[in-house]
Amino acid sequence: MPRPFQAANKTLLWYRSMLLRYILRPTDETVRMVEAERVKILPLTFLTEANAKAVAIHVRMTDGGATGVTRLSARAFLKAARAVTGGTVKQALVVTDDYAHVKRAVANLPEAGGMSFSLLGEDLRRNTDSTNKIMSYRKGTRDAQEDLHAAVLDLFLAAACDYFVGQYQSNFSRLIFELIFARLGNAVWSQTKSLQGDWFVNP
Amino acid sequence: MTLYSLGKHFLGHHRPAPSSVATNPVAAPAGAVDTYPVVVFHPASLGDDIKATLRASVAAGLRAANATDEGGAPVRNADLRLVTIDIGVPAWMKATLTPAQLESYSYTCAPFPPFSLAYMQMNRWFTWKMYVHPALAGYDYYMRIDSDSHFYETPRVDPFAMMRQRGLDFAYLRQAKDPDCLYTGLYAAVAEYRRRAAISHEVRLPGQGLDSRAVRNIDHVVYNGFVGVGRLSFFQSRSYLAFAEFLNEEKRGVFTARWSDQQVYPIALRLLLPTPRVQKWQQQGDNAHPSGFPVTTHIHGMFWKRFKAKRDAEYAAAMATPPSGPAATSADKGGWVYARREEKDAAAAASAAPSSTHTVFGGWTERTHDAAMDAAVKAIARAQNPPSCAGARYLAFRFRKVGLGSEMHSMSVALSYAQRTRRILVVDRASWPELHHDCALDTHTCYFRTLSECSAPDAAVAESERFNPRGGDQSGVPVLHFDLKAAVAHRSWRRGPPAPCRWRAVAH
Repeated sequence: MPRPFQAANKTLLWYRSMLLRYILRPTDETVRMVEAERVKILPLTFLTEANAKAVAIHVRMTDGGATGVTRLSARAFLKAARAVTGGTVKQALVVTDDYAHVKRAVANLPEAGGMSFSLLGEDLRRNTDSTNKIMSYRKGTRDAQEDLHAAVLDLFLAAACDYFVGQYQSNFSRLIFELIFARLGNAVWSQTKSLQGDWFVNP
Repeated sequence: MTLYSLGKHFLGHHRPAPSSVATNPVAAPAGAVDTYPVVVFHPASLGDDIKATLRASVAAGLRAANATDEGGAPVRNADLRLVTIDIGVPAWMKATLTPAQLESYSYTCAPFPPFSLAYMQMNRWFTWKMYVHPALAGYDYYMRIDSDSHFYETPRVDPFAMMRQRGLDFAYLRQAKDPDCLYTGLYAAVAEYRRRAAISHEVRLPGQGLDSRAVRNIDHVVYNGFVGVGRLSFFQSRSYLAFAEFLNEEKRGVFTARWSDQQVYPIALRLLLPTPRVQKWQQQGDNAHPSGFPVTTHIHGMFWKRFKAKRDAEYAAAMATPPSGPAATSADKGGWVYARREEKDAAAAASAAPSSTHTVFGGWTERTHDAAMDAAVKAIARAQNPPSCAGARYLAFRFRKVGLGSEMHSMSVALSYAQRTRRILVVDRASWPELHHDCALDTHTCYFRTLSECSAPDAAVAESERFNPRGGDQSGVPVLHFDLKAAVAHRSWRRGPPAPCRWRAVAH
């Protein structure tokens, strides 16, 4: 029996991206659904205007393990986004299940760093229940369909943005990264900056 | 890629780097926007889909140019013409050779592989026929760029401005030397033509009294053909065309000895012009290639390959970006027009079905510009969809009721195991019934296409044995279900402790 592949290897990451590219082939209905949202919230990201690019930022509700830390984490992500994009991108699609906290974090950003991102995706259909996701699924207290719908939207919309800031600890961040990888191939490494060293795979 | 780079670096904007404006006398002024027409000569066999791709490549280049233009100068119309050509073969070949002989016609000169008839036709085109084609009528200069070449950076010097301001007859990117076996009879033919045309000025060709060093310097020199810039008033002149016809039709060396365009250019310039003005087109700058060429082709070494990988990715990304709505199809001022005359209908048809062959959606794409990646996905698809489902063995994936990222990664591991054990991965439809209220199918096919056209009976999936990579032989079991814990336990490789997290130190 051959060994399974591992994540922290560029070659195997390439293979995993190909597997995911096969698994994530969207249905026509999914394409229509996401395109409808993309037109609404990313109207200016067709590379027609130099300053109209968008950065996608994935902030998990559980980042840091507490609400207060989440707020700091959101700010850190936005700062990273500013660094990555050279400060030229003014639109941020926030992929999160805790939008309110991210919004408050952004509201404090001018004092923190003078950033002025306009946030996209606030109206996306999301489940903002703050209880433990897995436990609530198993107890049946959380609508998994709602979560999945939002996750599919977030996945494709984030991968369609011009920049993406995520974290390797998150399966969902890695999924977006691997979707981008499946499109660009190994050339993605020249456009990737890791702030987390070799935690997952270091470009 | 060729047209993409032309679109990016020439059609939309030619903006020399600010630092070069003051020091480079032939650089265009800052902010200048020059648009040059492009003619694509192609054989009749070029399909509509390829034509549509060619237009889309130019459009993508224009978008990329505009997107990277901090000044925001408007993209002007791109004048792209697709011109069908039929180079044909000389009458004497048709008269003396059978179709089978024409099919296998070649010229051998070691160390090169045999040169085919098509290669010789290419030389016939670029030494003679191209210059008499009506598509080049009325222009002052031309720049030829072959379809396997592209610009890896914006030229700091506008080649056409350079030609005009310096009064050049020809600009080349690279000199090289071809071996003797490609010059069979060429110098004798040139000497004969010189006598016949009563050319009196000194022609620096071998055997004419030059010292050995000087002879070596010009002997067998070629201007590499894949890119060149020429003055059309010379190449369309009666004297050049007569010389080209002499080489092609009378001496027939283009077909009998593989005399080539890159050999003919330096010879013709020296033979027909008393003082030819020829210059190397060289690029200097921070990002310039050490050779100074602003153009790359597939024939270069590792450095170019790195560039190619980078540019291919950029090209793929630009092609993945759809045209900008109304501006892409509008003929209004400021919009683009990349269709002209008879190409309009084809462009309209292409725009009506833009995604039939190259679906790009969000971050996901049906096809990429990376053959290896596409081949990998096709191989996965073939394994998941065998010609017959009879006798197929299955690996059923059960959702674990966690987030989408975790589920999809688990599924990718399962698919990997399925591929390695020659099984077909299917979804256990009963593993997440809570999701059924919004779609009639199981979780995965609610949003994504089915993993396989084959399916295992639900009852067999429900009662399936657990897949155990460390267990005994399970190859005879028709349906297994995937167990992530068993797969993880199977890992003999263990990742070391994570590196210290530098996130906060950087971000705060």
